[in-house]
Amino acid sequence: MWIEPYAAIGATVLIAITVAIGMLVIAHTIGPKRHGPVKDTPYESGMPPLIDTHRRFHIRFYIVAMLFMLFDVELIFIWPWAVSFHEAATTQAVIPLNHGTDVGKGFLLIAMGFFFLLLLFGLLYEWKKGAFEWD
Amino acid sequence: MISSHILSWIVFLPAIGGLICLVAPKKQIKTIAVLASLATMLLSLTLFSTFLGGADDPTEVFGQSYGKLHHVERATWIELPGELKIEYFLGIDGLGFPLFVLTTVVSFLACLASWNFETWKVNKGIRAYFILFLLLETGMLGVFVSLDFFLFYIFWEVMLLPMYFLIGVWGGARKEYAAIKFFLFTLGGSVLMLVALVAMYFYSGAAIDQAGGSVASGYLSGSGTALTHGTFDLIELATNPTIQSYFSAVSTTFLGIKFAPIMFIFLFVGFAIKLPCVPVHTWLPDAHVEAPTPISMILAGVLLKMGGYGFLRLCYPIFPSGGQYWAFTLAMIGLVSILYGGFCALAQSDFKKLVAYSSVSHMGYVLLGIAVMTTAGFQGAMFQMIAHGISSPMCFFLVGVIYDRAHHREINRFGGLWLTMPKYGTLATIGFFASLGLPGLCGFIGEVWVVLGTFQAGSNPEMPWAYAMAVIAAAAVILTAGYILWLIRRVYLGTEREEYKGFSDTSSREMFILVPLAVLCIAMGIFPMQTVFNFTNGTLDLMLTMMNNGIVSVAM
Amino acid sequence: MNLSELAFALSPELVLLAGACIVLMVGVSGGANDRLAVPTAFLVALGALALAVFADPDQIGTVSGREILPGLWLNSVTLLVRLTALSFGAVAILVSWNQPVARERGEYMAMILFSLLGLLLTASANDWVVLFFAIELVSIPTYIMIALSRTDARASESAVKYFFLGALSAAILAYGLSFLYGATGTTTITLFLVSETETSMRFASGLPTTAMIGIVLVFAGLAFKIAAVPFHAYVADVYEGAASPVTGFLGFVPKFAGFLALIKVFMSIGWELPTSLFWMLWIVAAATVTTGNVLGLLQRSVKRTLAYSSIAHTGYLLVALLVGPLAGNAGFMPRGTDAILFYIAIYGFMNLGAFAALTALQTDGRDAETFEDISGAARRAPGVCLGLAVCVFSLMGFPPTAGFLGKLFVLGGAFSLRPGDAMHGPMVTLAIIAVINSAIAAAYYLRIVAAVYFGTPTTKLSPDGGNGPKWALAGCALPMLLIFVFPAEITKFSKRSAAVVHSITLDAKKTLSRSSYKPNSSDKSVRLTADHVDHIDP
Repeated sequence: MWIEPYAAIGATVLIAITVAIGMLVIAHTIGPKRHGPVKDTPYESGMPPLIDTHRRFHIRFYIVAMLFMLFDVELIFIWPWAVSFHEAATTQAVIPLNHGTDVGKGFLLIAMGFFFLLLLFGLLYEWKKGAFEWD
Repeated sequence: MISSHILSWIVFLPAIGGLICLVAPKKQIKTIAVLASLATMLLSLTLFSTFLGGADDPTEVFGQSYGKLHHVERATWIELPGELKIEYFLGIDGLGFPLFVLTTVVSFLACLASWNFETWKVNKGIRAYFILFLLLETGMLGVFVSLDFFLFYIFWEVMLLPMYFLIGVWGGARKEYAAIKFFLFTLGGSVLMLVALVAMYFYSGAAIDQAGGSVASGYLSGSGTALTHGTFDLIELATNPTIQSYFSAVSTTFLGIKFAPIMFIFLFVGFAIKLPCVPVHTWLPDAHVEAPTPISMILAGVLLKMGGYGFLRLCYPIFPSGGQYWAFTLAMIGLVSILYGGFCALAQSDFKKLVAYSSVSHMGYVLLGIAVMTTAGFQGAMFQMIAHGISSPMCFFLVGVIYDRAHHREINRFGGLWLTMPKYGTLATIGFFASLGLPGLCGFIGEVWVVLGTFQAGSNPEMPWAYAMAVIAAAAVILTAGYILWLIRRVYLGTEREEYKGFSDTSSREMFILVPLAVLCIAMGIFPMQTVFNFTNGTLDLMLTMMNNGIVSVAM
Repeated sequence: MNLSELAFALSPELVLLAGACIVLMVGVSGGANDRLAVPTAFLVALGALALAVFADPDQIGTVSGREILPGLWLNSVTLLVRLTALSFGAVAILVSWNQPVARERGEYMAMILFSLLGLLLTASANDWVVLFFAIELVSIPTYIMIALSRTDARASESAVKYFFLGALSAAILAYGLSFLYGATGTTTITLFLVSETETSMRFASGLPTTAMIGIVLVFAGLAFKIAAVPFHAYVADVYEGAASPVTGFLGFVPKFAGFLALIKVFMSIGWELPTSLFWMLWIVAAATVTTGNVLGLLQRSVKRTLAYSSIAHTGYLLVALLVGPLAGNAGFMPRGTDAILFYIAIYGFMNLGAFAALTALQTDGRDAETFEDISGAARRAPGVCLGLAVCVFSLMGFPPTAGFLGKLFVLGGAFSLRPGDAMHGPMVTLAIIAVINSAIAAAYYLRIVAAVYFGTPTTKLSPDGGNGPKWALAGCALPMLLIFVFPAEITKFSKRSAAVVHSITLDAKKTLSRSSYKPNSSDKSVRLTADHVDHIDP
């Protein structure tokens, strides 16, 4: 049946869900529960919490994180390109177009150059906008 | 040059005047507008030369069958090859001619009535006012001569815009409400007309396809003109046997309903709103009360006639079996309009509202006369339209004259005006008696003809109800007499009132407007043949003959 | 094909891309230079427009067009979209001449250009993935534009609202496209039917369930973009929060992109809508028209009114979409897609014109928004109000404006089926619903005109929104009148442009009718043959 190849995945997911829910349920049902002012404090050792745990971080952390994410994702895009380019360069493979012509490794190279140019523009913009200045 | 495109010249002359007003110095605008409407009127009067022979040699003027046109202008306006052809197609026959001339006359007099623009309550924007006025005239004239349905629809709609602004900007206290109501009612009717317009184009195309893709033209027979796809030509739609037999065939359906009756109703609603007849008349009193006097004159004198014209040009010739099918309903609506309008008029204390409701009542006769589909009925309806087109602008102007002086329109606060303003009183009596339908004045002929026509229909086995309706319609004249006579007693007779003593009698400008209307009222009452019937009957009779040949009994 | 040919064929897109980057840099170059970003953006749009007009190499603009890159197919639709979108963009930049008040002019203008680029790419996309990215390129800049357009909290609120709903719709769209890929094994739109995989559908017995699910999901995703019921709820809030020029932009660019994508989806299945899908779309169209117009009646703000009018216009366009390129066989505008292309191009300008007028009329130093704001404006700004009236009457579909022709053509499409056709009844009913709605709509459009002309003037109003919006308004209102008087050429152009949709749909339909279609593996493309080309008007 068509579903067979997926059976293993299904089983894995099923087991994961069962284990996760099961552990929670078991802990809840058989675990001892004692409530009291001391027991309910965040740190049972007796250390009173100093500040709220939901602290705000400065927005510049997020900016840096976001910029990192962006360039990181863009780097991932280079991997499949590199594989294609390698194939095109070693076997002279081409991509046929509907109207008879086709494109090869030169096109791939230019395309990636274009991509990098756009990245560069983005970087320049961020620089000019002051996204890299910490203060 | 003028003679070969005379209709275009007449239709667009006011618009040209409007263009001149756009750049003219402010002081000259009134003069230019009056001159433009005067020139339009004079030019339209030259058309009489075409129709004067109608009494002696009807065939020459009106042709052997419906579809003989004069001063035809045809040019292709929008063409998508093989799909769509919209023509600039003007022409005039006995149906359009009297209404066309009526429009130019009433417009000229209304333009004169706007001469005291500076003394109005809202007296800003004189330039815009006269430009819109002249554009309105162009729109109205266009409706009466365009014979391409698309062009007709464009004029019909475009005419709404100036009217909307004229009521909305220069109107009375509730002008915004009245203007929007007027616009929405008319638009509501015309969207159904738009559906009919598209449907008729496609169904006529289907008829031609069924007949092999090309048929000879109906009324241009012998000219070698062949139709290969649908058409907007109103005369062609009415006279082409292929299209006609497809339209009235029992197997031709629209949404599962027989084509002719449903299309008839789609067209009818739009025209009935304009006419207006009960129950879609409610925009009329509001619009009249709020509109300035000259606009009321136009509204009553010309706009309402478009409804009746639409019935006679579109509904009946193209869908005669639809008219047959709905005859009782329409006659009933007409009768209810006569009575309801009359009773409402009786109850009014506002002078202008009274005249407005009397219009509803009078236009009910038009619908009744048309609905019974008899010779006298059609002729009477046509005459009633022209007569009302003369008498009601006169009545509205009479109201305007006194409103300018007294600044109110409460009937019960007037009295003894005849003594204060003898000339005004005399003319008012002529105007209101014409509206009443006094023998010897114009209102009489139309009503009598309609009642006669309704009696005539009683002999038709399919219309046994016509006798009863004729009796009621004839009796309703008493109602009209009631509200008019009571009105005259309250406003013009009785003792002179202190507050109106100083009022000046009608000025020479006012006389210049009222006297021609009064003369027309009398002339039409005494010489109905020479003033109206000779110009219209030929076309109406041919139309009826054609319809009677084409009627196929339709059962839904 | 060599590189220079490629660059030449894609020159409007490339100019837009490069121009957007330059505008972005001009904006951050510091000092007073940021003011330069606006004229630069205007010149970029005009330059791209000039290239689109003059650089029409070989086949772009003809039906068969040319597949320039895998997934990018330039054809007659591309040409129409280039011309409309770029001239629209130039006018939109004029409207935004003094916007935004804050520093971020460069970003704002660049976003306009990026969004236009997205629209252009949507028109030429021949691959589901490219189409998806193009639509995202249309959408994402609009989120930023809304946020930048004003400095108050409402703009941020509507930007966030629009962003989240937009992201949701993008997810639904991508999900739907993945189903379509799953059903056929290819992402190329014109190769959609020529699947080689084992799970290849058997079209003879109708669309397989997976493809049906895919199409429904794609429609749901795009319904957000075109603002169709039931995905319309955000429109009024977002339109109200954004500055007027952005609102005018939002009413056209995402909607156009959405309709182009829908055309591509239906085109690829030969417009053979299964009965259930047909009725779903029928109900959506009827509900969209009615909801837009009825709710439009209840609004107090001009901008919200126009937002509901935008929903209603989506409904009219959906009527034409339902007719499709094949159904009609007589009369005028027998192909719904022709009507869509004509109508939406007109709609973009008349809608933008109305917002340009709101931008030109300032109340208390901000754009006019409510009916009270514009009350009696005709006294203070007669020219602006005349332009507004023309645009509003055009939106109403009233002669003598181009909007009337649009309405007529949609109606013509719905009526063009033979009276005996099974679809004739439903389509005519739908058309009548739409027409009756256009009468309802007149009530709220008239309120705008009435407020301007009949209302009592307020002292707060001043017509000093700058000259940019006024020129833009003239550029929107005048064509509305001119197109009405001389419609033949532009109508023929939109028909010629839509011919490619017709021929591809015909192709797809032929493939569908072949029950066991086995494509030759060496010839995977749906080639355009001479028998499609004969549908072009001379």
